[in-house]
Amino acid sequence: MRRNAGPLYVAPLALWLCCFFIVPLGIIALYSFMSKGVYGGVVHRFSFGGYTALFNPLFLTVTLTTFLIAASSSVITVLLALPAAYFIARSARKNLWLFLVIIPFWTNFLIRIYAWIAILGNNGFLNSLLLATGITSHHLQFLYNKYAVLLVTVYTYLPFAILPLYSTIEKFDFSLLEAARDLGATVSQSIFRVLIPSIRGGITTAILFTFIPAFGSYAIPQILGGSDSLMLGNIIARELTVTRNWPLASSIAMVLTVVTTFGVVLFIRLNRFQTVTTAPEAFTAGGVDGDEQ
Amino acid sequence: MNSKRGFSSVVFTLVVLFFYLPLVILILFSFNHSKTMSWGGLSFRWYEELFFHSRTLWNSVFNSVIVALSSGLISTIVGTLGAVGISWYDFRGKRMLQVAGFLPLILPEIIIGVSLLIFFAGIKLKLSLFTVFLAHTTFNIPFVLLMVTARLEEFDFSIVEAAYDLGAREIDALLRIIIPLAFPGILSGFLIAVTLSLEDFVITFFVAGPGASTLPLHVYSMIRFGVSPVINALSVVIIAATAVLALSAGNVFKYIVRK
Amino acid sequence: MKGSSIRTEKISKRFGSFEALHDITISINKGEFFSLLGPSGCGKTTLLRIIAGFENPTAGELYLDDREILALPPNKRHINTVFQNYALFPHLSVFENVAFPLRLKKTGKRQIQTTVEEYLDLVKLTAETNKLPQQLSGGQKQRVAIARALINQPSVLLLDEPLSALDAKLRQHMLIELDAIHDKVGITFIYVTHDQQEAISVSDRVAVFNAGKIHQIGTPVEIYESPADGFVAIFIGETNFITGTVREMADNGYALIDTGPIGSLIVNADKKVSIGDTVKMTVRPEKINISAEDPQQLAAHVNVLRGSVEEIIYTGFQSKYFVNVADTLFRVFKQHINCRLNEKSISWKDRAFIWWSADDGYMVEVVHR
Repeated sequence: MRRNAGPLYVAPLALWLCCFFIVPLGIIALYSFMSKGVYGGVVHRFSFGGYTALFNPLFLTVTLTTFLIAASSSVITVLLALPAAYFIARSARKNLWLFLVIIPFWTNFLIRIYAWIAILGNNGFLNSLLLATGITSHHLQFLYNKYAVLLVTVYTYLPFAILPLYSTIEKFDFSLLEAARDLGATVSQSIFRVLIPSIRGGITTAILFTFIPAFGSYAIPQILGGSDSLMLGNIIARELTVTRNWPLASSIAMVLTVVTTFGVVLFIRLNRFQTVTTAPEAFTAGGVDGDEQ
Repeated sequence: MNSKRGFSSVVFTLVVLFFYLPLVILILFSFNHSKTMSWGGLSFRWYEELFFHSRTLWNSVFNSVIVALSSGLISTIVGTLGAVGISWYDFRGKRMLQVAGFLPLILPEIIIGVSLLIFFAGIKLKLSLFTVFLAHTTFNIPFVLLMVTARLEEFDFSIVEAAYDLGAREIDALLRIIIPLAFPGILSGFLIAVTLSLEDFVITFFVAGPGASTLPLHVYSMIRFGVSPVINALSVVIIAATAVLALSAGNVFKYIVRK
Repeated sequence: MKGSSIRTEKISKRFGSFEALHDITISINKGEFFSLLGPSGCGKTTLLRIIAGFENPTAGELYLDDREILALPPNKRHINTVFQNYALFPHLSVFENVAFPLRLKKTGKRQIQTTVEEYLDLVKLTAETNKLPQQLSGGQKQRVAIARALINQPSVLLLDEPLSALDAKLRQHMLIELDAIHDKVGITFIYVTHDQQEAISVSDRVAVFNAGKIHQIGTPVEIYESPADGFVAIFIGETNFITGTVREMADNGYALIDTGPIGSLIVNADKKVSIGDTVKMTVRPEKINISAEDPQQLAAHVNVLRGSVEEIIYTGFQSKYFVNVADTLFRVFKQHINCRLNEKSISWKDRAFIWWSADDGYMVEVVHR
């Protein structure tokens, strides 16, 4: 009988994740229950201070803003991604279109943000154009508000919604739409009653892939946002580096972690339920005795 | 074609325009003589500035490449071995390890950045390029794990059993069967790791020490001073470089798929 | 050749609360073509994996050429396996797949060349040397797997449902070829299958498994003609069961059983019974004769019953009749040795006579009084 080499293979992985992921996360969890030091940092004394501070109206507003920006950007993204993914999946040149969607996102993330500054900035392309054509007589402020944050968030995460939607739509058996039409459904009925329910998994994946990163967003509101678009990520960074209230920074980070994890667990539950109802054999295969042919 | 198809093609066209228009404007204005975004005649002065008068920028490019390659390599090794262990063996704590290996993929970047910053402060490790390397390897490992695991899932464990059955030792099976089979997954894991490392801003922002600026950090510090045509020129260079890399990677990928 | 090749001694295997194997003791002779036959999940594959070294038994001993080998890892056992899904290395050519064991042993280049060619020749695959596994048909993959498993010259070759992925025609063909390869190499073959036709057509002996236990070990003729119990009888081909109580014992090895409405039947007393015992007897459908007229001049010890034909299935070389005798349905298979058109035909709902010799009936279960 062969010796089990499994632990040997996973040892470096387990060690690395433990040192640089689990322990740091544990430290944040710990710090969120400690007191703030006079000159920043933490004092090792138990306190709920980090959490009670969250109920300050400022943080409640920021949390609400964060949720609204993340939710609206993911809804807009998915609404754009659905028809785009449908088009790619039904096209004869799928690979070309997919390539076209992915390519811009191999340029640097900050360059993409910069591109929008170059267009929407006070001295940007759009302002220059408006001034030159005489439509306006003074510079307009397009940036540093929540709409700019929303726009660039959609821009950044749109491919992450298109790809999972594409892969589920591509697997969809389109003769079902014809069957629905044959049975008397209108085009829109066949789409809303047959196609959309069948690609539910892809839609939830797309929402997850846009909502979660948008909810934990830092760079986009930091660079393009204003006072109306402060998000939780910005508050964490501010509490950590400027105010140096580490317990508060940690407790906000914990909130982000818990919300994210909860969202993913919910998603996995939903998806597992789907796989159970559609493919029960996945759970019975690989049983004790592989005699099945 | 039905109306839905017409609607979807309109949306798709708009999406593509939305994706490319900003980049096209960037490229166009990199050849602009004027410092603002109004056209002032064709010029290559920003390229000259970029290539001959931007030492700190090139220094940050160098830093980025060093970190990308080293963290790409280490995360590929650690992730590949881990994927083999997780896919084909049973051991205590496997479930927990799978969760721990998946969690960094979904947690907001800022959580990883902040927790590592506090951790490094706690163990009194001075922030430097080395801490950037540690952080990048940490967020790269789960991606390699994912890619290699997905590849290994295409094969039945009986292939490895066949190797043992035919006289292979553990190391023979690893080198002659498992690694060659997983190679497309390993390669794409490595490429993703390098790309993500070059791309990362948020985590690097928290864990980079003084003088350890990477390209995204450098671009960030330039952006804060508003529009700078040097960034336009830099964007064009980066877009050209990624296009070349993408095409060649596409060819490599096609080759692997055909294999 | 003498002595045992593979011998298992009271091997048991539990997976949690599930007992996959219970006290399996088998002795397989050198050079034998031995089949492990049973339905899905009966434990035969588990036993094969224990012999190969991929599983450890919970209890018991395993001997190869009278040496205990349980402690050896699979790469140290002189046993090779042909896997159910072939398990060919997809990144290696046919040649390199077959050469794999030799490469591990650091065999010389020229030696590898000649040996691999020899084995590819054995499985008639010399034309596909440089192809990759995915370019091969199912049957060709099968041959590569066999050549690869044989090249190390193992003492025992294990075959795990090797034909299950092939279509029926190819399966017949490969079976014949497998038999030929076995004759050529002369080593022990242990063949796992759930297909009783495969097992009985090529094996020297067959072990019939069910639910982790061995029901019978014997030659194909023994397990077909004299099944040890009801499970074996029904698993190896179709059959009829009749239950009754022993009424009378004859000195010449026959018993007379009372089956109630069907009447009294004479049966071969191949198990120890005494008057008053309840027995379940079996008779194969092809052993039963059928005709429209009363078969008058019959030898002694023949059971004759009268019933009505409920169903007839004509399959070309034979017809299957389902005959109702006092509410018990008998299957009767009649070979069309003579042209069927000339016979006085029996049709649906006709009254018919069926009869069989007492020697063709066997007892499969006995409940002693």
